Amino acid sequence: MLNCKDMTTEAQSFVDGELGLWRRIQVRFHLFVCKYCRRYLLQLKLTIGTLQQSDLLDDESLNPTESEIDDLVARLKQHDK
Amino acid sequence: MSELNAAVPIEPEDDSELIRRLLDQDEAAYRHVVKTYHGSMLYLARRIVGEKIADEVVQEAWLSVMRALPKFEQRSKLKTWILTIVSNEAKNRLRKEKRHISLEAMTEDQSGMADRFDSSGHWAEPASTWQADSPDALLSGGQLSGCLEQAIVELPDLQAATLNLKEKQGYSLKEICNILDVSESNVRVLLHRARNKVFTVIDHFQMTGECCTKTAPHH
Repeated sequence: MLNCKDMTTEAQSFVDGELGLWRRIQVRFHLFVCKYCRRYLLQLKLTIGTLQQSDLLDDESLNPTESEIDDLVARLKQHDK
Repeated sequence: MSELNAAVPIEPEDDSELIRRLLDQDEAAYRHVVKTYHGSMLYLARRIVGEKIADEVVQEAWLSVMRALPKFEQRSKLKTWILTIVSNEAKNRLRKEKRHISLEAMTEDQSGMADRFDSSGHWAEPASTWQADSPDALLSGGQLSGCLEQAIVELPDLQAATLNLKEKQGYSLKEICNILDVSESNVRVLLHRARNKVFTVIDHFQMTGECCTKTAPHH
């Protein structure tokens, strides 16, 4: 049977839809009996939602400026000739 | 940009058309790929080789992309293939400089989550009940955003890269293991540890209203 420590890994795979049927049943059973793991799962989903919806992981600040695009495109076209 | 090419819009989801136009040296297509992918390429390169030489690595990667494009068989999306080339270029660069990525250091658990269980694996220190129930509510006020930004900066580089590829760019674990050339089980460890670090920062903030400055000791 899964313990709560296992659940911190299994809950993540559960959220990612990566578990097989038997493992999903084990996770659901554990969640049924453990309020702390239910809380962990709920708040893990909120953590993931926050990472996805916020700009915390944005790489847009690294996007090239128009003049950098001009330079790079010119270099690539030169290389292709 | 030629007026002819500028008049034909790029369909962002249509890789085949984009590749055809790149092979035809269509300037609008060149501009589109540089504008769309360069930022993600640079983010990934920085996380593998560091900020100093990431630019150089990405420039090299662009040239490799253009060289290899005629042979690209489209078994993956164009962007996935490009990011794989960036990752390979970056790792080659590390090899040339006799630096290497220590997977042990990259999978370091900074979350302290493992310390929150008793010897039988039950919660000794369960998560607190968070008052916020949505990302907007969680980040309102701005202070937690700063804590999380700092925590993400301090993550081992491959953990941050994995988090970006999964949560921001929506790649599957299988795609991420192809891009980073690490096993699927290692990608899972990188992702889980990164998420747990973010989780514990939020949890600490919810309890105390302060950033979590403590980094868990290396086990």
